[in-house]
Amino acid sequence: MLSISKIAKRNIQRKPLRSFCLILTVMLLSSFVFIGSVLNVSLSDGAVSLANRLGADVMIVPSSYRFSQVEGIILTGKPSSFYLPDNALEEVQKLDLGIEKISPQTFLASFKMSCCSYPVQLIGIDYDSDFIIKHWLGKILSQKLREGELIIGNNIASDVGEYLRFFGQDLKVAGKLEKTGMAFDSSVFVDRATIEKLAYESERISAKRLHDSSSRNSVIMLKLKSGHDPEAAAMEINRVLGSRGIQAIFSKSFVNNMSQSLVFVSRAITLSLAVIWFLAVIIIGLLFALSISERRLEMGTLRYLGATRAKLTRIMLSEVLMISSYGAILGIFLGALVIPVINSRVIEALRLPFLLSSIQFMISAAIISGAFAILTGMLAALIPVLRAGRVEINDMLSEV
Amino acid sequence: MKILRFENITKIFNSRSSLKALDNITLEIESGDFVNIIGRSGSGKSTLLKISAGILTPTSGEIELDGENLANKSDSELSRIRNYKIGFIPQGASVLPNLTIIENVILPAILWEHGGDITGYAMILLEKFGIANLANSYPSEVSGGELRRALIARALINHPKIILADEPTSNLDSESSQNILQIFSRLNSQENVTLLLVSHDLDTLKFGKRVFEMNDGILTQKSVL
Ligand SMILES: Nc1ncnc2c1ncn2[C@@H]1O[C@H](COP(=O)(O)OP(=O)(O)OP(=O)(O)O)[C@@H](O)[C@H]1O
Ligand SMILES: [Mg+2]
Repeated sequence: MLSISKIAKRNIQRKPLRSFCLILTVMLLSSFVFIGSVLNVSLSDGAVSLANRLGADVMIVPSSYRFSQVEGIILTGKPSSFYLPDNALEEVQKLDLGIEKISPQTFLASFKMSCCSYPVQLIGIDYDSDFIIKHWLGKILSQKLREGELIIGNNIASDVGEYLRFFGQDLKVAGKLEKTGMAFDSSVFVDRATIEKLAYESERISAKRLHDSSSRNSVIMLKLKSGHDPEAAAMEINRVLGSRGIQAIFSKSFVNNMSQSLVFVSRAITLSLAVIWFLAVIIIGLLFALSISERRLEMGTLRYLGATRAKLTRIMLSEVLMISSYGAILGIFLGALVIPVINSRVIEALRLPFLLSSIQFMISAAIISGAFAILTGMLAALIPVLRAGRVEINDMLSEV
Repeated sequence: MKILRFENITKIFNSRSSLKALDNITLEIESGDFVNIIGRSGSGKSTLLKISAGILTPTSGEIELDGENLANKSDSELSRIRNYKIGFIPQGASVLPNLTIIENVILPAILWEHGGDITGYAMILLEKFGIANLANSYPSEVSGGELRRALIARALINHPKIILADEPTSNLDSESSQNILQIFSRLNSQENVTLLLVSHDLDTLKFGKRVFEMNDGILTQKSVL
C-alpha cells in the first residue's frame, strides 16, 4: 500500500544520481564527525591522563637533554641511548624529598629489527623496585623477570613464549604489556643484567663506547609519598644536583606541554569538521533547492489532490530524513572501518600519545555523529523545503 | 441538490489588472449535471475551474461548493474539501512520475483518512477504463490517452461530489478523444457523476447536458440538449 514513506523511497530510488550525491555528502559528514571526535578524545585522553598513566611523579634525566627531547623519548618513543652521571641514584636518594618509590631505568636503542618497521627502545628495568612497567602487565610474572627474558610493549608483534633477537642475543618473551598510549608500547623491557649484556654487545658490534661512566642508569622514576608536591621536589633536585648533570622533570609538566601540540591537532580537526559541515550544508541545500524547483509540478499535483502545506513539507522532509539516515549509517560504518587503521598506522607514524577511547564512548560518538549528520541534512534542506511549501498552488501548476 | 454555485464571480489577475479573466459569472450546477464549457484559448476556462477547486480565489463574487462557501477557508479546510469533494483533472498531465499508474490513482486516498479497499477500487477503475494492464507501469511508459484515463481514475478514487476536467482531450487523436469523452458520458449517465468539463475542442459539443461558451471571461449558455 502507498504511504508517505513509500513516496519518499520512490523519489530516492528513481533519482539514483541525485540520491547518491546526497547520501555521499551525509556519509562523509557523519564519518568525519565520528572519526574526528574519536580522534580528538583519544588524543586528549592520551595526554591528560598521561601523568597518571606514567605512574611517576618526577623523572630524573641527564641535564644535557632538552625538555622536548625527554618528552619525545618518554612519550612518543624515539629510541635513544643516554646515561645519567655516576651515583645519580645514590645522590637523589640522599635528598629529603618524601620518596615512596624509586626505580632506575636503562635506555638502549636497538638497531632496526625484523619484528618492527622502526627501531625499538630497549629499556632495562629493576624488576624488584619497578613500579612503572609492572603496572601495565596484564598478569604479573610468576617469578621475577629473569636474565635472558623480556617483556614487550603492546605494539611489538610477538607473543609470550616466542623469542626475539637483539644484538645477536635470543631473548624469550615472558610478558606483554597492555596498551599504554606512550612510548612503552613500542619498547622492550629486560632486567639489569640483560641490558648490561646487550649494551656490551651493542658497543662491540658498533665498535663505539656508549658511555664513559660506569653508571648504566638513563632515567630515574620517582613516586612521592602523598602530601609531597612533585613540582617542589623537582625544583629541589635541580637546585642541589643541577650542576652535576642531573635534571628533574615533574610529570604533570608533560601534560601542559603536550597539550600545546595537542591543542593544535585538535584545533585542526575541529576546523576541518567545521569546513566539512559548512560544505555539506551548502551541497545538500543546493541539491534540494534544485530538485525542488524541478518538482514544482509534482508539488502542485499533491496540493490540488488535497495535501496541506504541512503534509507537503512532511513528504519532502521524510525524503531528506531517509537520505540522511542512509548516509549517516554508512558514514558510521566507514568510520568504524577507518578508526582502527588510524589507531594502528597513522598514530604510530605520527608518534602521538594516543589512547583509543572506550567502546562505550565510541558507540555514543557514533550515535551522536549520525544524529548530527541527520540533523544537518534536515536543516540544510529545511529552507528550500519550507520555501517551496509557501508557493501558491496555481504558481506550482503553471509551467516554469 | 446544488453542488457548485458561482455568483457574480469576477477574476482579475494582479499582474494584469486591465484584464478580467472572468467577468461577472453566475452559474449553478446540480448533482448529476454534466456541464460542458467551450471557449478559445485564453478565454478564462482554466481560471473558472481553478476557482471552483479553490486553487484561485475570485476578485469578487461568491462561490459555494456542496453548500460550503469557499471564501476565508484555512489551508487545511480547503485541502480537505479538495481531497474529499473534488476530482480535479488539470490541463496537461500532472502526475508523480516516480509512482506507478496505480499508485498515482491511489495517491489522493492516502493524503487524508479514507476507509475501504482503496487498492481494490483503484483496480476496478483501471479495469473500467481499460488500463488495468498498465497498473504497474510508470507514467513515462504509457501513452497520452492512457495517462488521461488514469487521471480520471485518480479523480474518482475518493468518490468526489464533482469532477472538474480541464481540456481532458487536448493533444489526443480523435479516437482517444472520443474514448475519453465516452468515459465521461457513461460516468454521468450510468453512475450519476457530476461533471464540469472545459475544452476548446468542438468535438466535445456533442457531450454534456448543458453547453456554455466562454468568451473573454464572459459565460453564455449555448443550448440545452
Ligand atoms: N497567473 C496568471 N497571471 C496573469 N494572468 C493570467 C494568469 N493565469 C491566466 N491569466 C490570463 O487570464 C486569461 C484566462 O486564462 P485561462 O488560463 O483561464 O485561459 P484558458 O481559457 O484556460 O486558455 P487555454 O485554452 O489556453 O488553456 C488569459 O488571458 C491569461 O493570460
Ligand atoms: Mg486553460
